Amino acid sequence: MSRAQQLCLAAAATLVAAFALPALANAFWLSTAISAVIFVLPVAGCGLLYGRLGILALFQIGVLGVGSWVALRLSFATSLPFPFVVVGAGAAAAAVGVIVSLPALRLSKLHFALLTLMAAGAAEVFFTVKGFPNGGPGFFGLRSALVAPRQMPRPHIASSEAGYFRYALAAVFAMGLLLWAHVRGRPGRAWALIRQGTPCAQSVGVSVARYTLWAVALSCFITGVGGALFVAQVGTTSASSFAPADSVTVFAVALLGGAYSIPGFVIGGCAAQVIPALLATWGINGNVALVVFGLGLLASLLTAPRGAAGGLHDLARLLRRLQTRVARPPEREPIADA
Amino acid sequence: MLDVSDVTVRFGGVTPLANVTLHFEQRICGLVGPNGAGKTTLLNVLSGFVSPAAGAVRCDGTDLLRMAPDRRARWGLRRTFQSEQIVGDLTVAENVAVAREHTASMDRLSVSIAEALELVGLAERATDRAALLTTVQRRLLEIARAIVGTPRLVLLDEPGAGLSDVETTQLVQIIQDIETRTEALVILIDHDMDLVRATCSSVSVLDFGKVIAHGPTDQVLADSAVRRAYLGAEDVE
Repeated sequence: MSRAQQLCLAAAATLVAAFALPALANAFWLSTAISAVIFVLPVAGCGLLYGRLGILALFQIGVLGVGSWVALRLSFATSLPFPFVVVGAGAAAAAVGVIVSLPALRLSKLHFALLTLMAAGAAEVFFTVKGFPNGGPGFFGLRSALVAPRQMPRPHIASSEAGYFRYALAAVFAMGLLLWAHVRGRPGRAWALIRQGTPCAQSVGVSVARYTLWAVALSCFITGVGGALFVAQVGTTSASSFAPADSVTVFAVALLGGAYSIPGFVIGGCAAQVIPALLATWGINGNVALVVFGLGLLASLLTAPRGAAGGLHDLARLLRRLQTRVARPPEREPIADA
Repeated sequence: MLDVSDVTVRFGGVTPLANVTLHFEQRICGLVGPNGAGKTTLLNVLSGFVSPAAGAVRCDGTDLLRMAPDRRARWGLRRTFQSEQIVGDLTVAENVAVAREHTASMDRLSVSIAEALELVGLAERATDRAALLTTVQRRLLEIARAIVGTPRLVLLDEPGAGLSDVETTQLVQIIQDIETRTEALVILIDHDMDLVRATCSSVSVLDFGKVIAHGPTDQVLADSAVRRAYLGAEDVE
């Protein structure tokens, strides 16, 4: 499939989802769908670093929280339009991600994972101590506990749930395009060489530090945008929404969906929200979802290392091959004259 | 011209290179020696992956040791690896493009991606994923990646390993074409003496981290010390 065909297919699928889901889903499932769409972003951020560079970053939930915090702060302190708030939150998250990653660049990948997990822990401590802005004065923007917190306003065109679903879908599609342009372009090729090995990348002039930081910045920008969309969905939030351990879940679902392709991020992000919602509707404790993710991850690593997206890709290729074989039956040998 | 002066490399108690001094003046120079002689270590010093304990390396007046490996590549130092480093997920053309994107200057002597692929005989595979190439083709692709743009110094680390006679003949032609299509100085490491003899004007021989011979190819390869280093003392009269 050509690049143009891939883009058209993705745009068509997004359009169908944008109009079919709000028409078909009830309030619970529409809310779940919004969460699922938004959760694609931290999964994409994690998958980008692992799939393209082989780096395991375990701070995605912390970065998501940074995006939420900055979005709330910008929203209450300024009169910026919503898209600027979202981009600002992404930019702030990218800056934090780069600052955290800078000292870790010379460390091993295991140490990078540990450092980022610690950073997620530090972010949670900050959120717990300082809270999230809720319309109050000062840098931290906190109101007195006696006053009801302000809700982050959504954009006018997305004040309804259906409207916000479409808005979030459009934002995620835009982030997908940004990611796709990077992966298909010059940075993507440089990342592929870095993944192959540092000497390989350096031998053709790729600055490993610069391109690794670029990937981290992009990953955190996308995740920060997710944080802004998330907090606009729920109105206000707290530190309990950003537990560091959830970053491990993000990594697990990235592997489960497929860390090497954008469809894999979509599958992973949706699975992370839809499976707990399904369990909830069946009256099963939501924490069972962690067991489901664990089993799914195990099955994925054993049978489909490229995740569900990779498995689906292989299946589609097999079907195409079968289709070609059916359409063109093998030639029979000519019958020899008696 | 490449000058290697008194280069010493130490890995703990091991000294793979001891006071190595070499001058590479010809366009294609060979670097030979038995396994463990320090050939690849010297290539790693030149490309920046190993820092010497002492010594200097200058190429066309530029001090290479002051530059990080990626800066050396942007300056024009290219190399291939003993175990090829081709990215299977990228297409054949993308594998070459990445080198051009990060190192090429757009002067008229610059080798384009298409020219580099044509030179190694992979022009028709440009849009294929590199993972689909054979081992030999992957080696050739690595050479294409090393010559695209404007290389000044090309280091080929055992490009002939595992090649058949026909493939080696093709490789000889490719290395000779590098001389005509670029202005780069080529340093070739290989154990195939026919390949070295067919391509290199001069040869340097390392043994146990020391230079034991240096000069015109035929003269050096006929040297008794060189034959002893390769074949062992008892096999040489």
